[in-house]
Amino acid sequence: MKTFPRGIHPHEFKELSKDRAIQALPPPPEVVLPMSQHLGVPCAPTVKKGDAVRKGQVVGEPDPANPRRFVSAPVHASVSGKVVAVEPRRSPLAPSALSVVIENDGQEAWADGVPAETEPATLDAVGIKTRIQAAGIVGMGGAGFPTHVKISPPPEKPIDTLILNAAECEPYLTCDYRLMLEHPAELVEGLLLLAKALGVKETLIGIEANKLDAYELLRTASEGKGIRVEVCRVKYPQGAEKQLIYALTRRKVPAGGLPLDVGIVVQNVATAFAVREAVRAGKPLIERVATVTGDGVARPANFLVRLGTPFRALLDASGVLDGARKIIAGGPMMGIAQGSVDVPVVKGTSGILVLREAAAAEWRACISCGRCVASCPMGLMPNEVSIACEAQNLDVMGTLSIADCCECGCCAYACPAKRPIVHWIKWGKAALARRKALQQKQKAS
Amino acid sequence: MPDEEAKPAAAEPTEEAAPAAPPLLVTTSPHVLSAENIPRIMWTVSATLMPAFAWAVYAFGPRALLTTGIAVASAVATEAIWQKLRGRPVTVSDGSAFLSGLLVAFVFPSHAPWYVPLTASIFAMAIVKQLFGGLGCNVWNPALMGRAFVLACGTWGMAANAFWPTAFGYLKPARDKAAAATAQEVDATTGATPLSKLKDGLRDFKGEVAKQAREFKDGRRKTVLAPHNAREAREALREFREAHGTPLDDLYFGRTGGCIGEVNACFLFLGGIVLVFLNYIKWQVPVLFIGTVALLSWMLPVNVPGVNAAGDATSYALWFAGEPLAEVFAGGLFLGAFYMATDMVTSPVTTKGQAVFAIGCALFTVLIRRYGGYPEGVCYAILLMNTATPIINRYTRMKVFGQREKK
Repeated sequence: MKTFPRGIHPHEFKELSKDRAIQALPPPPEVVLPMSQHLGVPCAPTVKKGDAVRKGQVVGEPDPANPRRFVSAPVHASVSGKVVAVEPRRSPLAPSALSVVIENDGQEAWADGVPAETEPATLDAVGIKTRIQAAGIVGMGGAGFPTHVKISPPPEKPIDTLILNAAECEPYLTCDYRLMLEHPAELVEGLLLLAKALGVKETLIGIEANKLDAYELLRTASEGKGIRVEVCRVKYPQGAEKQLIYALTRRKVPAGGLPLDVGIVVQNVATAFAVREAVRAGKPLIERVATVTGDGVARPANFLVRLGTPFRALLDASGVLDGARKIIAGGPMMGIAQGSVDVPVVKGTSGILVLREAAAAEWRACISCGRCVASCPMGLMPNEVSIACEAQNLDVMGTLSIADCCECGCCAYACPAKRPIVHWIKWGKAALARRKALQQKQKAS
Repeated sequence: MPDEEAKPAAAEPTEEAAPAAPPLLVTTSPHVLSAENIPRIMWTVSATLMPAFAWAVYAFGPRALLTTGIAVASAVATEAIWQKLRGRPVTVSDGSAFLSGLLVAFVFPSHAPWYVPLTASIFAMAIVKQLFGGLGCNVWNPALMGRAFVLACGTWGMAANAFWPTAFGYLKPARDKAAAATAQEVDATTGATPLSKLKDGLRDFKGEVAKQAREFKDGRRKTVLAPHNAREAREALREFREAHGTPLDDLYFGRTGGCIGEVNACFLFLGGIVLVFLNYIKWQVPVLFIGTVALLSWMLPVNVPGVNAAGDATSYALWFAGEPLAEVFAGGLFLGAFYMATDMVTSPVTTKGQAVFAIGCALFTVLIRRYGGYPEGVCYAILLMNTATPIINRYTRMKVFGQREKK
């Protein structure tokens, strides 16, 4: 079975929510829409306090004066109502992010010209890209890279292969799985639209072997459409971009490079679905599927939820149990622990994980067991990195290729000494960047 | 550099407590960790040594229990006292001091004087382990260093050889007639270990040949009873082995003299298999270590004393004349290959590095056994390779995914 070297096998816990059909959560009384839900230039609000907005209306756009505005994605109102505030609010990605707060009037009134159904066959590549960009679609697996940028490679980097990342290798999460089960045809359509926009020769779907029912559905849906559906071994991080590419094509994305460098673009399941909604149905990205799961909730579920809905609303719908100690945006391996439940669902929120048992916080000296090395999918030496970071030895850290770390968390998961390796690496990356900036400043002056 | 950022986010209470009563924990990912931890590793490894230990108690009697008890107790006590004095958290419950103490006992004969395991354990824990920073920071395997230290203590009137032979009174060797005979009279007889019997025997043989050659030259003797060519040397070696060797099954099942933990290759092998399946050790290490010892001891020349045509004492180097199986099952090789060379702290990190390490251990083991001053070389071979671990680590790093070769 196709896979990549090393990696780990954490318990999946997908059984908690995998059989829960996608359930639409009623729009909340108030949505909070951060202006930065993606990588790249943050949006500038295009509405002000007191404005009336309608569903699907643009409320944030990159500043037209910014030369890098292409790498950004607009934000749309996810409900109709009145803007009650444009102010910094807490977001799952940052303690404080400029946000547009809309009070829901319950009318569900669409903005003018939305949704605008189109027959995709009438669109060319540029037309598809324009629609994707206008719909504000970003990578919905968590990274949040604007999709229209991803499918607009520079001319010197020809793309021959498109991969749909259906691995969903994060434990617990089932939102992609449910989309595949319930909307295989729509997914395939979204994928074909992306393929058309890119003009690729080959289109692949990579799916882990723990979702064989979804595999069958996707295979049936994609029959005769030039799509190859491949089963990958169940292993974390099978869905990491570079690892999935290697598993399916044996191509190695160069260190520090992008999939573009080997002629490949990878798109996530939820993104492909959003592309289909944007291009055919003409709907901007205002809702997504998010899994609420973990041993801290009474009723795990997969919710179709409006962007900007507070975590609290999802958690109330699922019922948080006593003793919940951790609330995580995303999965357990790469998700971000939240200090508050009053943060909104954003484009990259694939799930909310509620855990009762907090992972061990005490760590010991490295015993050189090599488990981190044996698990690191990037071929790094996390043991050395952790020792250098613990000692705050920037010179050594600079020699250990930590820029190639994808923070998948395999090393820290495997560590018997419970060393917080990912934490140290994140700190190390920031510290090295600070030092570099300082050196450049000194050189300049 | 801001200090607080380096501190891993353990419990960072947040201002909001809802919806659960205690504040939410905010830490860096990953939020789930494997069930593996240091105490589990140490206690499991200790548990897999129990069959070999039980055999030692059966074979050598309660004295083995006492020697082991002294070694374990003094190892645990030394670590606890050291940590207490240094004001560090006392971590003896993690099992690493217990395991070190157990392994110290395993590398001494059961009838070693009480102060021998005591000294070895204290040295191993205080000097070799704690002085270097405790678990994870030691350069050498503490148990083997403890052994090396005691062997070096010549001033105590304890010649190195005195530690090789061991009492073997409780279980009568099946085919060792001499030992069986004496065992009738005394409860515990001392006898040489299989390896020292061969080594000492060969040395005596060499002395005898030299003596005869001298006498032949002086005209006191008409013939020299020694091999005159390689063919005769080979024949002599075979006869020598028949006289001095130990049957393979006795070696494998531990019906022989030796240190507490090393005699029963079979039980050590079974324990090692468990460790391989638990992923605590990599199979490459014991396989390469033992395999290379077998290969090299078969291949490398055995120097058989003899005389040349002129009647001068010489030696015939017989290539490919070794006895790989006997070499493999004898001595501390199985203990070393499964439990010492696989010590996480003191061996390289990557599988490639561990392979280099294991082959190096094997090379030094065979060189010391065959050409060195000691009958057994596993201990020093592993300690030598422990010293080489940092440099092996440096040259056997993983290749970063997608990184191009350096131009």
